[in-house]
Amino acid sequence: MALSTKKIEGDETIHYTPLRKRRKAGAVKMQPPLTPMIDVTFQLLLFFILTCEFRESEGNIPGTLPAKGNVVQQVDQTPPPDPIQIRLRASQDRKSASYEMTGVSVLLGSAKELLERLKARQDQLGTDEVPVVILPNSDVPWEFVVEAFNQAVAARYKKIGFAEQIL
Amino acid sequence: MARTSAFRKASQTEAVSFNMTPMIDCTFQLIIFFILASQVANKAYAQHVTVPRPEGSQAVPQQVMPVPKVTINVVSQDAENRTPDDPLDDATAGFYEVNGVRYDVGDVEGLVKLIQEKKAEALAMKLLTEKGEGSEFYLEVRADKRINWEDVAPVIRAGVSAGIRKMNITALTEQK
Repeated sequence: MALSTKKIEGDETIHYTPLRKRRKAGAVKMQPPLTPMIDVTFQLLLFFILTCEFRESEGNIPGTLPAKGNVVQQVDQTPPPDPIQIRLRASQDRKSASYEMTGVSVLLGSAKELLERLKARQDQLGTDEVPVVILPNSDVPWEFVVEAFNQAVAARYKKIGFAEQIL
Repeated sequence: MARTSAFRKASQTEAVSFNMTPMIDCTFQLIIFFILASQVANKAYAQHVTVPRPEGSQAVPQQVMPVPKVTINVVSQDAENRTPDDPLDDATAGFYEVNGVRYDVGDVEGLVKLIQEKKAEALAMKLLTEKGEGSEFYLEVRADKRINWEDVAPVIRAGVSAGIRKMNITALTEQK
C-alpha cells in the first residue's frame, strides 16, 4: 500500500517550465541513440570472427617434369655415377630424415648440411646442369621430400627430379 | 521588440551535433582488418592439409604464379581430427581432392584424364595458347606433409603421363 503511493523522484511529467527556469538551466543535453551503431559494429565483428580463417601464407616451389616417360624413373639400387642422387630415409619416429648423397660418405642429418654439400658439389663440377635425383624410401613423409627438393632449388640446380626405389 | 527576439533565440534548444567520425573510423578499421587478414575460401585448396615449411623455403607466393593450373590435394583421412603438428596414426593418404571432387589414391588413370580435361578447359577459355607464350599448364601438388611419399608419387606420375611439363610444389613461404 505504501509502495503504490510513494512518490518517485524525477518521475513527474513536466508540462511547462517557466522561461526563466529554462534560461537558467542552459542548453538541453541530447543524447543520440548509439545502440544501432554499436549493434552493427558488433554484428560485423562477430561475423568476421566466425567466418575468417587465419592461414599461413602458402607458395609454390617451381619445378619441371620430363617430356617423355615417367618422372618417377625406374632405377635400380646401384645409382648411375653422373646424376647426383639424394636418398632419403625416415627415422623410426618419422620426425626426422637422413639424406644420403652420392659421393658423400656420411649421412646428412639436416637440410642445412644438404644445402652446403649440394653447393660444394656444384662448385666442384662448375655447372648447374647436373641432374639431381631425389630418391625417397616409400615411407618417407612428404615433408622431407619437399625439404630435399627445396634445398636443390636453393642451390640453384636446374634439373631436379624424383625417383622411386624398386624393392 | 528586439529584446523579445533575443530572448526567444536564447531560449531555443541548441542543435546538438554528435561526432560520429571515431565510431565510423572504428567500424571501417575492423572491416578492412578482417578483409585483409582473412583469405577468401578457395575450393581448389582442400581443408585439413598441413603444407610443409622447408628450411629457407624457396616457395614463391601464389599471387604471382601463373593461372592455368590444376591443383591436386593429397589428403589424409586422419588429418581431420588432428592439429597440424600432431603425427598421424595412418600416414597413408585417404584420397586425392581436386576442386572438391575426390579420387582414390593411386588412381593415376583418373588423374590423367582429369588433368587433360582441365588443360582443354584452359585452352577453350584462352588462358593458354597451343604454342608460344602462356602455353604452360601447371600441375600443382599440394600434399599433407605427414603423408608417405608412395602416395604422392602417383600424382607426379599422372602429370607426366598427361604431358604436363611444369610442376609446382605447394609449401609455406619463408617466415619473415
